[in-house]
Amino acid sequence: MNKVFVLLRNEWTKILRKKIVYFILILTVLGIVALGGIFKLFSLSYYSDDQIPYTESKSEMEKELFNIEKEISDLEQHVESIEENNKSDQAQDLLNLHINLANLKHYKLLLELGLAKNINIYSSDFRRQLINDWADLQLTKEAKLAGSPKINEKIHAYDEAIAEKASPEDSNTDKIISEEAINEEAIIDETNSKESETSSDEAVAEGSSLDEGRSLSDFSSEQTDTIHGIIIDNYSIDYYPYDYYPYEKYSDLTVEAIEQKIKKIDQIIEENSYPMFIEYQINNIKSNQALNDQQKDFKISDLELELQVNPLGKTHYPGKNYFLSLQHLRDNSFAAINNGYLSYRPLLPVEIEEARHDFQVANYYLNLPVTDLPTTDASMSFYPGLAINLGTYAIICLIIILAGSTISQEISTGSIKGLIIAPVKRYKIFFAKALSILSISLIGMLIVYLTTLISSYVFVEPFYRLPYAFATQNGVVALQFPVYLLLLSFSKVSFVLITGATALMFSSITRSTSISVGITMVMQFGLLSIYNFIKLISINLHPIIAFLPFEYLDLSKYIFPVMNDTSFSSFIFSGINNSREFVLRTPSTLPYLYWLAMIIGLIWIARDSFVKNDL
Amino acid sequence: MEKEISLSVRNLYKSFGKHQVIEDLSFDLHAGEILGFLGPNGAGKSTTIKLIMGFLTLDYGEITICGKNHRTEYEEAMQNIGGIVENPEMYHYLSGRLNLEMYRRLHPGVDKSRIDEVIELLHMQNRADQKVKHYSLGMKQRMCIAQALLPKPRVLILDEPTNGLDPSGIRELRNLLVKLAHEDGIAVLVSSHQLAEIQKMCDRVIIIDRGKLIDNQPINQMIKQPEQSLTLFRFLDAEQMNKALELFNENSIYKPSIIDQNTLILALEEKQISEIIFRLSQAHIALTAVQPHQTNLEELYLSITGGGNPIE
Repeated sequence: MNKVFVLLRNEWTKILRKKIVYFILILTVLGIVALGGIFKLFSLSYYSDDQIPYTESKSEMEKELFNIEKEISDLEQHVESIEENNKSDQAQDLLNLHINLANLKHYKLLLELGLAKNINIYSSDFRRQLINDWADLQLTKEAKLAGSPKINEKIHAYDEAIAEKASPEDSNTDKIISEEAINEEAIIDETNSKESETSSDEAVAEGSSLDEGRSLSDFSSEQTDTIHGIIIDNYSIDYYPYDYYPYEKYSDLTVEAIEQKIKKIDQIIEENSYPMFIEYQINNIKSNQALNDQQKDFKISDLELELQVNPLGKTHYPGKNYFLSLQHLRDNSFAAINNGYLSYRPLLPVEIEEARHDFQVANYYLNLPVTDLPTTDASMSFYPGLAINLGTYAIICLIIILAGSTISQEISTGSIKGLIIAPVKRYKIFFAKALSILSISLIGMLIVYLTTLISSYVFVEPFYRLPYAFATQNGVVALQFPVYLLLLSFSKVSFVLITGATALMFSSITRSTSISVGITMVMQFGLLSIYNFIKLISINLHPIIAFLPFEYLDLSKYIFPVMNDTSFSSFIFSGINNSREFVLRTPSTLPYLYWLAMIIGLIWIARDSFVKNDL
Repeated sequence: MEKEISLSVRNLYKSFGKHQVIEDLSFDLHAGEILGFLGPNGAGKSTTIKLIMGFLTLDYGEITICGKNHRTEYEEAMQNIGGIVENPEMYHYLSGRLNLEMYRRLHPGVDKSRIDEVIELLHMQNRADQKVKHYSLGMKQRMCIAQALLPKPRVLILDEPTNGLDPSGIRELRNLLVKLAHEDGIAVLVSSHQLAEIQKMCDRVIIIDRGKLIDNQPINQMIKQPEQSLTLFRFLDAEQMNKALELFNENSIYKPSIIDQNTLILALEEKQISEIIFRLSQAHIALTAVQPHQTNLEELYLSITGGGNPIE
């Protein structure tokens, strides 16, 4: 063993005198620092663009109002003419026209209010949200005063008309009639869920209700198929209402209550007070019957946090995306835990468990005390992780060159003679070389870590130097930023090492530096693109692709699945990544076992080739 | 008294694919002995040396170095050996001294001061700290020899050690090897095509051809003067020599070897030389020179190996 360490020392003597080592390490350090600078530059400039001022949009809004008024009058005439004819086969058209008319009226009201209150309706100004609510309330009030039915009621009426129309001679309808009860509910649910899906972001932001009638947890996949089948057969051609009617949410209020609300909105707009706006939103949430207490708590705490970090109610402010993404993650994972499905796809138990973890972790981050508010964009929080990744790939390049040449170059130049003549067995020479690859991987990643850490303290604000939180049986545990960064860097050694072992194997087998370095470079940087391309064109590809190097050999992905952002959960929530699903279905130890098997196999082949073959 | 056997090679076999390169090769190298290892190109000399040095694996046979079995006690056996194989190669991006230092680390018990000793021995003091890539072939050769001598080996194996050396370097090396063998008792195996050098320095010579041992004897025995010494006769011109050949043909006991158009050699006893000169003068054949002819290793080697074989 002592001789292995002597040989290792010799290997280091050689490595330290190779210019390429210093060249790559200097480039790595410079690259990481430059990346920090670039991030800083872009995360600062993000806020230089402000909203378009009202004065610039006023004439456009006036022009738009003129056009809309004309459009409304044309549409009203058209509706009148159809209603006069009263043809039953035009019922669907009429319904759609009513919907369009209502939408146009809402838009017109919005423009009028915007012009009256000097608010740019094309902006994300918080007052724009208020006049939107105002328009909803105003239209609801008008409808109530006129005694006209709600749009939803019109739809229901139309549904009944369609059901009556269904002919008993039609063989296809037997099935429909027999499952009428399911259809009724399903169509409503389908409508509501689509409504909710298209507006989920707005709904979260505005604190609007999730529809009470939505009870998708009752769905079984079997029922969903049946429902879809019937929809395709009958309704998709004739009738497919998908518009969203936000002003319907106030239809249960009395005219007096609506007027009070409008008055309150007017007051907030007049005073241009963001705290009052937040208070208004909180009150809306409190009175929203569709939300349970926990959901209300989330939303209220979100709004309170919003007021804390953005007291002036600016449209864009540093940290906005950070908080929004965490809130989005928390809400989505909460829904996933409660419903057990997402986008009509039942979630796997492991996915629900992961959603549970997400929920805890998102909550942890959202509950962190906000002391130093950031001045840069949330993208800054991705810098440390990306810098580690960049450094990892640079170290991988270095390792490929060193491991790919350590045996082959010495054989081709003949300098290995000094080692072979020495009184050491060949396997010891090999293990010293393998250990030198391991040690330079560790030292390389240590340099990457230190550079990233220092660079992070220079470029990244304290707010974004986040701890790494993960859920355990006993709650959430957090690693402090420097510790997390260190462990992340060393977990990346797994990826560096597997690449080094591959290069070492090719170096030993082929005894050609150019071939071993070339093949490993292509495998590392070329095949990955090819795999990604294959995945892109065929998401149903057999998961065998997961076992091709080096697709699943970066263990850091499994050790630290979340890198202080919400990207990892997007795989679950988008539900399109089959490989991801495959990985989720496999035991959690599989990636580690696979990695271990690969590294043992590669090292064994390399050792065998070096020790047993003639030189 | 028989000297201790430092290197013993027994029934060595080695093939590359179907090509048998070494076949039943056996020889011994004694302490304090310089053994010349000869053979035409492709005879298997380098392969034998590579087998001893651990570059190649044996198909069959046994190598023992200072009593240690090469196969079962590899590290102990290799502790006693030093040498150079084929071209002198070192880490070109390191200095000569650092190359020696790295080699020294692998030999426990070898002091750092030994590096300076061997550098001085090979007269490389002024160049030892330069990178090897700046060395000439001769300097690399010297440094490789220094490396071979570094651990004070009991068996020294040198493959073409005079490659790249200038005449004074060759002479220094020769004297050094003779001193190491005869004074320090080191066993030295030298493979070279410089037959004159081998003749000057070696105590014994083995010749192999097509992987088989074809001769193995002390050098002085190999080139000793026979009872009938060779005598060279040089005539005035070709015509005179032809007349002489006719005369020798008349007497079948003389079997001349023609060297060139006016020179020939006869194997004669001392008393026959004056008789021949007398008879030639009687026949009015003009001689320009009569002198004894010394047999050298080169002629013996060529006569034994048939002047070399086509390389297989």
